[in-house]
Amino acid sequence: MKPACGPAPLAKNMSENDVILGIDLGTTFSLVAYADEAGPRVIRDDSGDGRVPSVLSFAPDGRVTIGWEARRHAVENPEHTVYSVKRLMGLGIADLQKEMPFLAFRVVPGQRDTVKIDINGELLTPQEISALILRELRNRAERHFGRQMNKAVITVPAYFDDSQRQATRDAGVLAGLEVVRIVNEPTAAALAYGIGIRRPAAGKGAPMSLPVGDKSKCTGGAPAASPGAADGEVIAVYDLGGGTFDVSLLRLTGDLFEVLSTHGDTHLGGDDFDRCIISMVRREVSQQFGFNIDSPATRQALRTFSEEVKIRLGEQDRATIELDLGEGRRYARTISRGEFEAMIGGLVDRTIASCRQALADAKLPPEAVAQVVLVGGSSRVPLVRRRVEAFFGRKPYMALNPDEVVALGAAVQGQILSGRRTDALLLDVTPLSLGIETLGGAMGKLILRNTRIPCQASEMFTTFVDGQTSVKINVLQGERELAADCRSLATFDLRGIPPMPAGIPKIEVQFLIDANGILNVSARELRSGVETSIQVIPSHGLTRDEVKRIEEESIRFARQDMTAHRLIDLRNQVEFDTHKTEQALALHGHRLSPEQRTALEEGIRVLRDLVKKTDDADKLHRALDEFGKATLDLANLAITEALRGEGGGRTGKEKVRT
Amino acid sequence: MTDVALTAMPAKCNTCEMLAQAPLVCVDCHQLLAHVQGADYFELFGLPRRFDIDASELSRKYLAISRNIHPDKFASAGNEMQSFALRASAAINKAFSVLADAHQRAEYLLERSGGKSAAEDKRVPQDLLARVMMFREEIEEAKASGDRAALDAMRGDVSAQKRRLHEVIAELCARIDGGEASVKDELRMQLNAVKYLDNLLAQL
Repeated sequence: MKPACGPAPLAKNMSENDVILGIDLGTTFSLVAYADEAGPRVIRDDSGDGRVPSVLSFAPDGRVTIGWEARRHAVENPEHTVYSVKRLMGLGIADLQKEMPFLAFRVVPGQRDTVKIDINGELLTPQEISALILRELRNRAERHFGRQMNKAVITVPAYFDDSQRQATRDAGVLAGLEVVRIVNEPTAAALAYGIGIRRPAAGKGAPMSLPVGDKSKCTGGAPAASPGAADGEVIAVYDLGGGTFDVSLLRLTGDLFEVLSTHGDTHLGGDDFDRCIISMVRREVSQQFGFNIDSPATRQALRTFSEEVKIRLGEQDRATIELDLGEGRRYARTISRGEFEAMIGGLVDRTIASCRQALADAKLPPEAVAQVVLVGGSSRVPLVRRRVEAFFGRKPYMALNPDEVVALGAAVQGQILSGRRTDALLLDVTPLSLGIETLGGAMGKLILRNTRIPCQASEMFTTFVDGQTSVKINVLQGERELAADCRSLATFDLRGIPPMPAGIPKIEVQFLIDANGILNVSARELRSGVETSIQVIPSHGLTRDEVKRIEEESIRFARQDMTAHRLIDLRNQVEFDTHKTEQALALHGHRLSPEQRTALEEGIRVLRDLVKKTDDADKLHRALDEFGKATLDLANLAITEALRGEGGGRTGKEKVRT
Repeated sequence: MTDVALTAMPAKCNTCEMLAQAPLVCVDCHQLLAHVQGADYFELFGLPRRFDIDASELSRKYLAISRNIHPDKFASAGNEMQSFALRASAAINKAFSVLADAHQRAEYLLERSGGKSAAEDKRVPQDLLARVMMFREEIEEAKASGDRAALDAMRGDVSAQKRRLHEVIAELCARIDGGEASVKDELRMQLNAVKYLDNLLAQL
């Protein structure tokens, strides 16, 4: 055995410009970042905001608006506005029964156990919707770099199962991205935290010249561990986002990031806090006035103002909710922070239970945690902070921007994968046990949760009937004993087994979980040495053929992105937006200050002027974005409009105040 | 191919040295992979093949190897190299997890010396079952009466028994290379016994 190894560069054909983007595809907001020698940074819009709301608005002509613009028009256009699509990724209709009453858009069953979103009769998968968000982020990055960008690291909640990860990766493919890696959000956050408190990347090929705490520890040719104030310290990343919750425990040793354990809930986040308020309002309106408020427009409006109430209660002790439901029927109440906290207490308890489980799996007491890093917008809720602090017995670390840290970490991971940061190493785990359905419907575990990835396991199978040439395997993920209580990832149909008497074939199936946390399966019949072909039928996702078909179709759509078409779209958009704004001004303008009114009128004039003068689509896009932001207050006034007429379509003077 | 390589393995394996020290570039990856996947776990980390190991040395070597073969280091390499890194990493992770855990380490030593698996030989030391039964009853009584002090005491007791078992296991592992069937059988029984104590601890 003579391995011809030398110190040749790892990636020969990698150009200097081969940046791998870091994308945080969030429930509420998505961000795109990149990292260079100066460190990771988020790509922002002209107003300095890195966040793109994960909201899409579909116009009747098929045009799609994404981001702030879509978010603002959500109430006017409730059935054609899609939000929180991350909560639908990799799931079936049965999984979403609790979700449905809160969605203003239509969700229908798709192939096998999947869902589709019905927009004016056009059915889109959650993967396609997510791909549109990814495309928007990609466009933002391309404007920033002035060239094509096609590689990305995309983050997912650590507790995402295989189907949800696959769905995310498929979304990336549909957006024309090469998804170099799927990274767990808390792990990405830890990476940003660990790198951030230490130093920026060493330049390409730069020697690791940093002082080492204790060199004597590093023998056996191990690369020296780099500084790190407290080597080997354990940190907890508590990540509560819009729709998902994760907690991960990591050991940080120099530039080594070892995930010890992770736990979470892929349906627990800020959305659920909002829903507590929504349910309260619905219940009380129904008690007081004897009717239900439940039109799509109301769902959307309630969602918007509940979020505001929640944010307000983070800053002050009480908030007022007033709904004028027409005909003198007025729902009004104040809600105290205490009441709100009582409503969400059970949800926060669930996150703490997850923390306890993660510690138990890592075999650590809470005191062993040297730092608690808070991530995700919902970690701003005061009750969350208090409970986390009480549980771990220490003040959480809050110097990081909880909205941006995941994207920053993803960018650092992109830098590692592009070969430009050679010092850091990330070792992650699989969040859920993997197994197969055995005879009698039990779950036979092959890989336990919190096993370090990549990992593999193999299992022998045989046939039951003479001459049988195929075997079906139901692959499961979960912690329960019965197959029915676990999640079926896919059915693997092993084909091409040479015909033999029953029980004679020895089919070795290898289950390999890669560094993305995604399962790869291969099989071989040992007696004949024949590699069996495997047809994968995903339970909650797209087959390879389906992804390919959608991809081909989307090339058609992609052509529409070409400049000429884009310019036409943008001009139409300007016309539409300015007209809409004029209408809104006429209706609600009196409630704005004279300065605000003048500014908006001026904005309309400037924008119309620009349309006549420029052919620069990017410039127009930015101006439109700016204009959109300026109309925010006016749009909020329009939200209240949506509640008018609830309760039998009667009109009345409406008012929603938070 | 691997069998030959394994039986003739030098005390210090070149491949492992290389894994730990240099980035893997344009090696004959098939040969290397076959080696990593088929290798003796102790050999892989350059550790003496015995039950008592230096845990910090094991994890140091594990990390050194991981730094060189983790798939992150091969993201821009060709498909074959990526696939190699993936499989080699999975094999190294498996080897590490087995050696890092005392029970699995002993099981591994037994397996490599040709001893029986837990499924093949379910016997336990004679007095164990009676002791376990007695413990179970005591646990139930203590739980029923909410006697936390008694539960704590029992937890201490079972843990101490487990420690003693581990001493016995370590001693048996040290003699396993002699190849005596009685040593292997005895080790099998003691390892089975640990499982019973683990179940008790889970109930506590």
